[in-house]
Amino acid sequence: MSLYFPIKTFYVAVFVLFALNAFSQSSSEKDSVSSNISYENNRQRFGFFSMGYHNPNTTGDNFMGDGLQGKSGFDFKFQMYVYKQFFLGLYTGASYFDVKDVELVGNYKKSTLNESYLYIGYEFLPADRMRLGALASFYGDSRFKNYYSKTSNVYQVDKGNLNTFGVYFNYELSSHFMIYIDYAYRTTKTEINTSTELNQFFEKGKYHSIGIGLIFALGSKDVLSAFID
Amino acid sequence: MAQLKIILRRLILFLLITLLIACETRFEDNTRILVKGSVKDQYDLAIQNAQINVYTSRVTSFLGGEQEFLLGSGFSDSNGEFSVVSLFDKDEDFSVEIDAGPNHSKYVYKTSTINYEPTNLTFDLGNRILLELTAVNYTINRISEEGNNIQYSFRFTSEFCSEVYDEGVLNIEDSQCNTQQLLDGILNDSTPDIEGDFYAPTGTEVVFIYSVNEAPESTETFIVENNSNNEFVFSY
Repeated sequence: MSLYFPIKTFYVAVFVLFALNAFSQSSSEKDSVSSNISYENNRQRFGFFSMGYHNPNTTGDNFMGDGLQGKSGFDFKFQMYVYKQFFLGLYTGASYFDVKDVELVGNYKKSTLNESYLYIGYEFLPADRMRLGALASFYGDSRFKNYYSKTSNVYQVDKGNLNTFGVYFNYELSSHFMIYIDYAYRTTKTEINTSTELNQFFEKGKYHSIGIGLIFALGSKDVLSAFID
Repeated sequence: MAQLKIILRRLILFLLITLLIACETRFEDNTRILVKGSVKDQYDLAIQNAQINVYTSRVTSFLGGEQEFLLGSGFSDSNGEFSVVSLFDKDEDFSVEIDAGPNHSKYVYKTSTINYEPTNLTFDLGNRILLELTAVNYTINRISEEGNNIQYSFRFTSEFCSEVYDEGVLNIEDSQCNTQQLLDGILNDSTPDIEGDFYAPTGTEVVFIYSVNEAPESTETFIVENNSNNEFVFSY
């Protein structure tokens, strides 16, 4: 099943929620003047957009670990805080690989992996300006576009389901602007049909990802509060 | 006039897009095949480092030009065994080639994969024999006076074996495996002498057929010897 429908649904939901949050913004600002809210409440956000660069590193005895070598990647995330620091997010990005052994994977030179997934997680606020988050994906897919040569439009496609576990560290440069560094361990369970002798090798691909990027935070209330207010 | 320009622009854009789409080549999604087997010579000795290549052909240009694509490749090990991972393509000219260099015959497995997918996505070629080849050097000299000519031909076993399979079953009619090959020529006043060479399987017979000045054909035969200089010299 493709991620297109969940992504569309997610975007529509985000739009509606963001509109609600923006609508309730003016009343919350009034409240903040009169009430003595806590330090954590001051740091509550509706969500954020991020964009970043990452470095994929393949690992394990599988077609990615033995056959591909990570080069670079970029990604975009939208994350919204459903209740306090519990969050739900959408990740979409691409990772680029060179083929290091064509005898193991078939004759192609490079691969572009498009990755998308929905994730949930929790964010800690350990110190001033710092945010530490842990997340796990619950629905994701991957699509390898394997290029026959460096320049040609001759290619082949492999698809799969993507699972991710990750952590991130954000540093607030201002109330709504942050930089981040993150780490993720990703496993793609492929749909590749092959000989039983090769099944185990092509069944899963594994890689680590270390990234940096920028974050633009939105709002000052979590999603539920935005609804209730 | 302005409307005509817009129509022309749209037409050119449409043609460009059509051209680009037509040039795209995409092999079978989510598929890897395994090509395995072993390779030995006629003396039952394993051949190491024989190259195994998996090919498909595709029409790649708008004008219909066909191009061959290498989908997978690998080498045989010290036991002559090979196991090659390859991409797959639905094609009527799908082939696997085994090439152990100039000292061995070549083998090609051909099949149509348009409506055929091998069991367990594995092409098991079994044991393939690549005949050991030896170079035969030949020299033909004219020692008689000018005006004499010769028609000659060497008949020897081909170094090439091509087997065609229909859904895994050998099609004998379309296969050609180490058949008899002819190498012929004419020598006369413009070119009275010649030197050359060809490769033939070791231990096989070579027949030299000639006719001097349109006389009835005569023949000489010799065996291609192993590890020796196979020099054939003929004078007329």
